[in-house]
Amino acid sequence: MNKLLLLALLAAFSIATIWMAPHFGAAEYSEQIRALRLPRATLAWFSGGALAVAGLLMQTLLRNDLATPFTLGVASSASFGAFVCFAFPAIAATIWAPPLLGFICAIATIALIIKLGSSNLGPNGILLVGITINFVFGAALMIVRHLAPPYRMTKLEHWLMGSIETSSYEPAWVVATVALLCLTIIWMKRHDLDQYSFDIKVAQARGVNVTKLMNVGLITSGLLTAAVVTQCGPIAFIGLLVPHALRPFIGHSHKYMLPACWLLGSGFLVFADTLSRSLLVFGRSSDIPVGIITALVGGPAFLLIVLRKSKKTPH
Amino acid sequence: MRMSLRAEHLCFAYTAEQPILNNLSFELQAGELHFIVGANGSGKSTLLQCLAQLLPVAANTVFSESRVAYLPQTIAPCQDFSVLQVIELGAQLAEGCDIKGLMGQLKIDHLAQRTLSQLSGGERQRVLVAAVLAEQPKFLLLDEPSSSLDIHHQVELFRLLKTFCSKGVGIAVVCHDWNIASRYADRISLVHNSTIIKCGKPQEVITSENLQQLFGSSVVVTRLQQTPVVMPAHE
Repeated sequence: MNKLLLLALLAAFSIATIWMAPHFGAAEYSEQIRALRLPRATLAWFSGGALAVAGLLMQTLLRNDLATPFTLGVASSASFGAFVCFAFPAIAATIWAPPLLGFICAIATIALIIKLGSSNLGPNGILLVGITINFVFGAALMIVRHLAPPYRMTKLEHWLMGSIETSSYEPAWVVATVALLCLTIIWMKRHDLDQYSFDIKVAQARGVNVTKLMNVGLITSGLLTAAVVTQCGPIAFIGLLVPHALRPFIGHSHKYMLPACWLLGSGFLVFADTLSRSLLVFGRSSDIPVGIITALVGGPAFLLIVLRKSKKTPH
Repeated sequence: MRMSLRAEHLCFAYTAEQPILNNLSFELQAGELHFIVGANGSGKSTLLQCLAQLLPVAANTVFSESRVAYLPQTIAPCQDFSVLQVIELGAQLAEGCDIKGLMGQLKIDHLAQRTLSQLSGGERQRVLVAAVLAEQPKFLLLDEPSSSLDIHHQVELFRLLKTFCSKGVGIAVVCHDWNIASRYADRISLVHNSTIIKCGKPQEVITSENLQQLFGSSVVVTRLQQTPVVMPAHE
C-alpha cells in the first residue's frame, strides 16, 4: 500500500476517534458531559501518540523487537515518584506533586542510564542496565505499596493499571508540550535513525554520531514516557504493539514511521479509553482502567502480528 | 595535483603494551585499486577503520579532502530491510545515484523486494557492496568484500570496482586472496608487525621473499605470464 495513502487513512482514523469519543457513553446528549469528555479524549490522544513514538524509538535504539517505553525503567521510576505522592498524601501538598516528583525520578533515571551507557555498553548493555533499574524501582514500588495506608490502596491500584481520568485540559497540555518538543528533536534525527536501525557500524561509517543519537533518543523517549506515566499511569502494550503493527506496511523509514506511529497510537488509545468508559458490566458503566483494555485488545493483536511475521521468515 | 586519502605516522593501540599500528604511513590515490594484504591480526582492518576515522587517532594523521565510504568486515544488519531499502539508505548520502543501474551492474536487480534474511551469503555481500557504492564516494574502503563470494562473483565484483576506479574513485580493499590481488591491484600494501613493510605494484610485492617473511615456507610464488601466482607449498 502506498505509504502516503496509509498515512492519510491513519490520520482519518486518529481524528475520527477524538471527534467521536465525546459522543459515546452514558448521557450522550448532554453538552456538559460531552465537554467533560473532550479533555479526557485529548489526553488519551496525546498520550497514545507519545507512547507509540517512545516505543518506536526504544525498538530502534536498542535494536530489539521486544523493547517498549517501559523497558529501561523510566516508567517504573516515574511511577514510583507519582506513587509515593499518592500513597502518602502528606507529601502531595499540591495536585502537581505526583507528576513533578515522577518527572524528577524519570529524569534522574535517564541521567543514570546515559552515565552508565557512556562506557561503551552498546544497546545490549544499556538494555541490561535498564532492566535492572526496572526491577529496582519495581521493588521500591512494592515497598511503598506495602507501607501505604489501606484506604489509599484502591486509588493506587487503579492508577497502577493505567487510567485516563481527567476533566481538565492541563494534563493534556503537559503531555502535548513535552511531545511537541521531543517530536521536533526526533524528527530532525530521522535520517540518522534510519541508518542506525540498519546497522550501527555502517551508521558510524556514514557519519552518524551513534553515542549522541543514543543519548538524544534515550532522553526524548524517556521524557515522552515520563510525561504520560505521570499523568495516566503505566498504560501497557501501545509502545510495543503500534510499531510492530505498522512495520510490515511502512518498513523502517522513520520519515513515515514517526507520524504513522503517532497517528495509530493516539487513535488506538482514544478508542480504548472510549471503550473502557462505555462498556457496561452487569448493566452499569464500569470505567475499567484503560491499561487493561489496551492489554486485552493489544495482546491478541500483537500475537497475530508475531505469528504472521514468523510465517514469512525462513527458519 | 591528484586527490588522495593519506595517513601519516599513524599509531593506534587498544593497550599501551600492544600497538596495532605503529608509525604507519599510507596513501590511497584517486582512481587506483589498492589492496591491503597481510596475515591475520596484522592490523589491516584497523588501518581501514583509522582511514574511515572511526577509531580515535590524532587529528593530524589522516587527511582526506572528500567523503570516504567504508564497508566493515562483519556487520549485523537488521534482516527485515529489503534490498532496495538497503541501497536507498546508501543513496541517501549522495545525489542522483542511479540505483537501478547499480543493481543491474551487481546483478541484484531481481532481488529488489527480498529482505536480507531471504538472501544467500553471497547475494547479501553484493547488496552491501552496492549500498556502499550508492554513496558515490571519492574514496571507498572495503574490508574483505569478496569473502562470501564464489570465484565468478569475485571476478565480477573486482571488474566492477575497476570500472569505478576508471571514473576516478580510489578504492582500498582488505583481501586474503593473493591471486585476486595479483590480478586486479594497481598497488598492494603489505602489512606486517603493525606497519606497512612493502608497497608497490603486484610484481614488486608478491615475491617469495615477502611471503616467506609473512607465512614462512607454507606458500610459494610462481609466475603466469608475468603475473605472480601464489600456491600452497608441497609438504
